Amino acid sequence: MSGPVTTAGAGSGRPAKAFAVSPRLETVSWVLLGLGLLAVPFLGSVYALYMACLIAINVIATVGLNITVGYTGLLSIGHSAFLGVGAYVSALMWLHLGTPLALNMVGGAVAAFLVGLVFGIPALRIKGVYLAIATLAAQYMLYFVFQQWTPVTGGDRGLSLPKIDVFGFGDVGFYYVVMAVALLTTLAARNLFRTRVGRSFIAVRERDYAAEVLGINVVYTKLVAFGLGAAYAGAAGALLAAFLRIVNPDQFTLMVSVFFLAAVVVGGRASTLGSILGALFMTMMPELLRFLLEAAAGPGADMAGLLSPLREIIFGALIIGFLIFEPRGLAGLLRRALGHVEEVEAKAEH
Amino acid sequence: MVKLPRRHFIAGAAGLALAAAAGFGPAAAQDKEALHYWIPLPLTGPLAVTGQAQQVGWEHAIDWINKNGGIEGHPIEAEFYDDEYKVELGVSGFKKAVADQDLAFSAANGTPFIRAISPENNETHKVLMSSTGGASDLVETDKYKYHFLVGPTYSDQVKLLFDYIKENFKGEGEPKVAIVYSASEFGRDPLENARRMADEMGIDIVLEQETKWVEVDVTSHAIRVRQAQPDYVIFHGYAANVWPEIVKLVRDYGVETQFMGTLFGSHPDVVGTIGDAADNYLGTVSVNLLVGEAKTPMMETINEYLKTWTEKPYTGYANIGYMQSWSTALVLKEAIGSALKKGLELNGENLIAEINAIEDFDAGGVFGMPISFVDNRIPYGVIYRYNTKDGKLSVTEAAPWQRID
Amino acid sequence: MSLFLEFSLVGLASGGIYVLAALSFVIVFKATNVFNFATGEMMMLGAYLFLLFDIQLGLGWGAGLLAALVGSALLAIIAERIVLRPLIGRPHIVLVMVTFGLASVFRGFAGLIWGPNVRQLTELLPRTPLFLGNILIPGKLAWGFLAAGLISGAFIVYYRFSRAGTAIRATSTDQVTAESLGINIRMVFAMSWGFAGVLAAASGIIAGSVNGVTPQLGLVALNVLAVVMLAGMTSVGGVVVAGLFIGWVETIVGAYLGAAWQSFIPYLIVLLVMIVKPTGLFGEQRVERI
Repeated sequence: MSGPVTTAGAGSGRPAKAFAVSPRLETVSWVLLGLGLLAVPFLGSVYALYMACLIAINVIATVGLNITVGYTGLLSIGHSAFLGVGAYVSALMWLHLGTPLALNMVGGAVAAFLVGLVFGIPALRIKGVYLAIATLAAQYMLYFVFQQWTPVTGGDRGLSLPKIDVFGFGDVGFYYVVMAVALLTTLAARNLFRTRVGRSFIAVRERDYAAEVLGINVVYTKLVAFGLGAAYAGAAGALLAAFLRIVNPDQFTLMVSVFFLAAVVVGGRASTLGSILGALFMTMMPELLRFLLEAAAGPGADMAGLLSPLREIIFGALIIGFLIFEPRGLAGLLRRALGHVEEVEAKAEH
Repeated sequence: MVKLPRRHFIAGAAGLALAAAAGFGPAAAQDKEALHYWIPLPLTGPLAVTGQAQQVGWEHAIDWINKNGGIEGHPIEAEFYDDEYKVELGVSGFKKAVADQDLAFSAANGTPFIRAISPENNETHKVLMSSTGGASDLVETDKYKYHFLVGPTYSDQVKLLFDYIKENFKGEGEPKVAIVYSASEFGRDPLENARRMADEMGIDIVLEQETKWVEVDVTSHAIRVRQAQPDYVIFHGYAANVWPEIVKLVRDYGVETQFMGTLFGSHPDVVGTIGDAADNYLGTVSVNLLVGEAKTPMMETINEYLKTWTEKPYTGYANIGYMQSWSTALVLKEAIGSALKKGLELNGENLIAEINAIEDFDAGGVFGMPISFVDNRIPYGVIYRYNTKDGKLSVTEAAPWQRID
Repeated sequence: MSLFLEFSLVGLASGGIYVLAALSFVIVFKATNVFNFATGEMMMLGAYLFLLFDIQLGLGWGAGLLAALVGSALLAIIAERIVLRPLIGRPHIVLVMVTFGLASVFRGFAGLIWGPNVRQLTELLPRTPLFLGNILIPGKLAWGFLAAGLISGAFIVYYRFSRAGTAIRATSTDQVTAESLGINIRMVFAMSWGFAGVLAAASGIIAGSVNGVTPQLGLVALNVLAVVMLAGMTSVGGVVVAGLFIGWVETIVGAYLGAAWQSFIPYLIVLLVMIVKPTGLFGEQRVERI
């Protein structure tokens, strides 16, 4: 199955030089990306800033889900519910304790981690799709709690939050905070898979019996991986709450969870770069589609009603298409495109 | 014969020729800078039945305004947007709209979207906004500073029905009322106020039954209604499904009760599909739907426009969403026109003041009586009676237009 | 008490639709190991196809019904051939995720073709109520239950005793052995999807004839999933019991607690079952603990 793709060319007998390019290129693209992101606020568009924040928050959540689904091979279909736990907990901390955003985020992440364990423990003792079922249960049960526990969660109307002002820089300040968190969490995830814990996730995905023989506690490892994914969601949820300044149950539905799954699949499973690309692409897709439709139909044409069915079709087709034709997702496509230039045949089977 | 309207989205050739031949009416508005309206609607998803009618209403109303000199010579340019009644889609669309252009006005379909965007809009963009959902907290004017509601809130609507019940109940003791509502944000919205008002008014709420949006089977709800033996059943928070089947089943059970509904359950075409079971249904409505009996030039114009909407068979009764768009467009024409005359800047501050200054305005009959704004909303309504005879629907006023206090 | 009895009867009757949809779900899972999250959308498409053939193309309800069932089977077979077949042998989470994609595509097409508004189907089922003692069962519900029962029964008999059914069962027990015995596995996969299409469509048409069809009709299947999990995913008999059970629970919960509880309680039960008896109530002992 797919290991980290950078190592995949090892068998093809290419000169070592070719391999050296790939990491360097990667570094360069990271730096370019970083510079680009620093520049966003200077575009001066509320909309660009908004989309950039949204994408960054989605990246965090997607990276988290990728730890669970991509690296460890556990299917979670309740990711948005954990986002919700993070959002509610951080919002409540803020409203009632007046704690700063950083602490709220940690609080949200820890809460999501713990709630994740509640649903993960019964499911992860058993092999198979049981986690999918348990997370589906989490999705519905947590939604119910968000929506019915009115004294605490504000019920249907949800919680409204005060404006956040980071160092007096308003939206721009918040943007940099979100970017910094996204960067840190993404790097942390990337480096995780260079540690023993991270590698044991992959070992569990590949062969859990073998992993057990190797002395890996499989249940414990799965729990950690799943909890970690939930914690990422919790952190993303906390940022989302501060960003939208409203938390209500309808932000955390099954469809949102499927959105994150799609981002993982389209971006590329078991790839941090994939999570970034996937979240970016899936967040932008509706906007791109709207733009294309408008361009195709000309101004004034009544296309608004077609958008959402078309989006659903494209959304589904992307999931299906990538699963069948490019299991390594956009990250795989990108690397292949780059690799092609350098004549590196990266061939990872899935 | 009034000026022949022309559909601008699927322009019929015949209509074009006639309109050209007729060639009268004020000069089209083209000379001044355009006013930008951004209009998000639920064009797909479960609330699409309302959203699509609203879009056609907006298109017709703007077409008419632009052909008649715009607003003080300024033509209106509207951008429609499908937000599927989802907060995040609404917010991102709004941000894009305010980034792209100076908005004179932004519509907003869902109350959740209004709640999400208002703090930011109050502080930064200050765009005049309006919505058609009637959440009860929209009257908190300091929270929703630049927002106005073209109609009564859901609580107002329930109040109007309660008033009717108190006035017309002939039985002994307190009238017994069952409220059947959808498990949704807007479905649950008026409950708390309804309980309080019922208490004050001497109405006995014998049942509060919550149903899902999409149901496999609604029999149990019908049984609950039968069991509660209410004199009146109020449906609230539905579009076109679930409640019609409950009405039919309750009739199957042989229960004699008066069915009633709030605004969005009272679309004539939806009530019409239920057939005999819904005969005598009473609905609270905030716009004049009886365009077929139009007596004012404005309503006659709207009636002509409505006939050009070929996707829905013309029945002589307008759809609620359709009329809401007309009413909003005409209220805006009044407020923005007044601000332009005074040479004021078109920001939320000035415009909401102009909106609240509107008094005794009937929008040429779109409101059945002269209305005034109270707490950024229009607390006026009418109760219609819906009768079906031989499959043909007729709508009449059961209680006249009135202010809801 | 008699009220409770009435709710119970109504609930069990409404479970008929769940039984059909759950059978659709289980037949696919048994034969191909795919956890089909598009089951609800297959229901929805079945109902729309019925609308298409019966009313829009004017074939009348008899021919329309037949055409809708055949059409749904074909659609399911095509989906299997194009989407699932290339993924044979891939990790199970891939097979689950792809059905989410399928569901989204189905929903999108339905929205594109039939629009977002509620469409009414021909009233196939008579409204005349049925009396059980002094309890009145609404006509549509009773006949819907009867239809669901007949279809489920016929299917189960076929599944037990026909060659095709035996082949599916053999495949679900041991794919390799089945193949070596000369069973055409691909045929079995296609067939099981075809059956699933018919069952889902029947369920969708019955559901749609009560409350109309919208692209969101598929959402009701999410409660079906709970049923199937509860039953243990592979037990055909268990699914029937669990389907009726969930119908009953939903009705009781809806009647006494309110609709918000209706998607909470089934999943609470599912979670509890998972803790106490991970194989599900009727599942085969295939579960591996770690």
